[in-house]
Amino acid sequence: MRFAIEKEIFIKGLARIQGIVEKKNTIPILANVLIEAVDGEIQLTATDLEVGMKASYPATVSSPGKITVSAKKLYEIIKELPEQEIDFNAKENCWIEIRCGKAYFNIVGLSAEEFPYFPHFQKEQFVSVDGTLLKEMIDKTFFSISTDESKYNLNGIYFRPVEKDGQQLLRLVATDGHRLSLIQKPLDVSHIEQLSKGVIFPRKGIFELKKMAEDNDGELLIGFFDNNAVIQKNQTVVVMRLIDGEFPDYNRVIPQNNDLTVIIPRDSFLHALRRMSILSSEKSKGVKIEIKENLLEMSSSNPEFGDAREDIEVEYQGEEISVGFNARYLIDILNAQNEEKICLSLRDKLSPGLITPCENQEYLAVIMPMRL
Amino acid sequence: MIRSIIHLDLDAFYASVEQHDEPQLRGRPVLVGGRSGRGVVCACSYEARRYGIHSAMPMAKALRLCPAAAVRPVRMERYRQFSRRVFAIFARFTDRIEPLSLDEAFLDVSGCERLFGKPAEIAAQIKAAVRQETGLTISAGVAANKFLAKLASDHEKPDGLYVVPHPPDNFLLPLPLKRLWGVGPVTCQRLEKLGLRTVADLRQLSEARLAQLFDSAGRQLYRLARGEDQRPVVVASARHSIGHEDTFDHDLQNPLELHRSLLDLAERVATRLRGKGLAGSVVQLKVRYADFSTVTRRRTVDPPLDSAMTILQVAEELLLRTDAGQRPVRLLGISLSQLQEGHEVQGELFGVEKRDRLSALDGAVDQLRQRYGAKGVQRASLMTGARFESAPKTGGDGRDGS
Repeated sequence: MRFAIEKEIFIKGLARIQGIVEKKNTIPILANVLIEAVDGEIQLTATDLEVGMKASYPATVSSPGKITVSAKKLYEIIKELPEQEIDFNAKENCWIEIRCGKAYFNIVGLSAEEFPYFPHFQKEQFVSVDGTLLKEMIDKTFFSISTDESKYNLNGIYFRPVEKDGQQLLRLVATDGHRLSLIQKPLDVSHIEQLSKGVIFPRKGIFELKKMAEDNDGELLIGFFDNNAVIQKNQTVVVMRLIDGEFPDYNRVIPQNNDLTVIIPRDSFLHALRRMSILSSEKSKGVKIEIKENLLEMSSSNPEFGDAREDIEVEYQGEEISVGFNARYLIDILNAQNEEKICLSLRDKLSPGLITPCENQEYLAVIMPMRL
Repeated sequence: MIRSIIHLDLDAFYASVEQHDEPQLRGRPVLVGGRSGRGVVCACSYEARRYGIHSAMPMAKALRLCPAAAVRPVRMERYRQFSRRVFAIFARFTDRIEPLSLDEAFLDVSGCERLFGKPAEIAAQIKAAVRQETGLTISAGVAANKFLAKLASDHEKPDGLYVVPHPPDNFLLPLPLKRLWGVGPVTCQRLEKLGLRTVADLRQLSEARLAQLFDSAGRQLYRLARGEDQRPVVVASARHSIGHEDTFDHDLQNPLELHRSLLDLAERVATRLRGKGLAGSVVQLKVRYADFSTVTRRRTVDPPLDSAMTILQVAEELLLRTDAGQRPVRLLGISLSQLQEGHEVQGELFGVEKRDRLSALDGAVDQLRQRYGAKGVQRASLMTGARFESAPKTGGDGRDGS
């Protein structure tokens, strides 16, 4: 196999698959990228058996074929090459020669035979989604995904269609058991059978999906095969195995009767929280919030350093209430918003709090208080 | 400044606790330890020491030396109770306490004179309080540093109180060299070959000569021979982890036995965590195979755990990532680290009712154990003689009858 490719194109393709290759090194070939040279393009494939990606890039192919090689090492080499055309030549014995300018590399590859099979897909089975829309929906939920591996059913974002006032919506929900984010946008996906009961996209796949949505605007194609989701955009295909588990009954934990509602300017709240969190305890990030008439007071204390307090003007007429929250959780939510004002609704110091943009019914976040 | 250090050491601690609990054993030789084939003497009363018995001696040999001795099993939980009470007495006099074990500690009482009197008086007060409140006797050594204080507590044991004079020469010089800290059998032999027997003999050697013979240990010997020791009393720092491990009588391979052993460990770790009001976010499992090779597996969990069943669940999952079951297992251990105190607790969205009920159950069990001892309430599958296949129908109230 032999092809010539512009460095700039090759490095972009190799950078893209670095996040996919298996890092734990349990199956050696999964640390490799599969390179296939076909007519006028090369295809780069990587997989960790949970999430796989295949993308094609223009190249001058003089002899078609395929080879695999350490994705990380190849990336390191190509990154340091001069900005010129690269000559990539894989020989019968799986050794690979790379020439660029006056640089010459002779590296060992591995036969493509053992690389896992990457399925082909028919375009007709896909539904088209606006990339910008999907990116916003992911941005406003993904921070709530659990990082606790033992809670595997929370290690992703839950997707499902819902109907509201006759309108078809796509809803995304993520939770780590302490907080929950939910967003829904008008998008008719009710006809996708696999989606009807809801599916959980894995965290790693979500990150790839987000990158694809961010990479230029335009449409993404999403489809489902067996227990996999397939996402296609231009010349890139990502396949991810959906999480095989039941998403918890999240509707039960969304507060319905939180009568103490305070309207808070988002920007001042966010900056004050960042300051307060510096002195909250390293692990729990607890910040105390006291709400009085038109005033919200925040304070934090750290037995080793000292304490801090700050207040901001808010709109509030209810009874005085004091509650503790993990500052990180609040900051994550506020960071993902762009509204000028947000509403925080509470019931008491132990029940979940509800945060919504004041002017918008599409988004909500629930966070559990902490006992300080 | 001259420091005032007290070393306190309970006399024949385990055996004394047994004599306390069974008054008919008082004045009789008592051995604490396992009676079975491989058992050794963990502790023995002073009456037993007269027969030449000492701790770590095989039980069979001890019983040949003194067939009339009463043998009692080790009851660690009971000793801990006494230990806690004794340490609570120490804490009335100073917060600078360095525990060495359950029955031994250094106290730094420098600067406490105005409050409690001279160091020797403080030591006497502690001895009296320990005797009065726990019925145990404790030996005390008072000196200007830890090295001398420890020598002193041993000087008039049992029930001793010795104050090392200043300068300490009259006390120190006649002592045999093996009493010095850091002088083991090997060093002792080398010193004897040089014709040295007592601290006074050692005094004759220069620092350079000692350094030449024993490197840095030589410099330490030089200082110890002069009764010098600058080590501070190190107050026990906060715990980093809480764990238990068990070496089995026979290697385990049966999954049910492994499960049962993990349950037992999880139960003990959880009880200790709750006793200290802590919960841990990292669960570590340790597995030692029959060939002594050892592996550990760990997982970070959220929220932090303090309940046996949830710890067990994680431990079982970790066990699947080892060869336990395929290879025979000699030792299992569970420990929790990244401990945090319960007072700053992040609330949970899901499964709150179930968790609340579990923790109420744990609390009730803890209270029962406080009243009736560790075996007052037990899981049915951990009862002695419980069959692995299924929990026995009778005895479901969890009593083992002992």
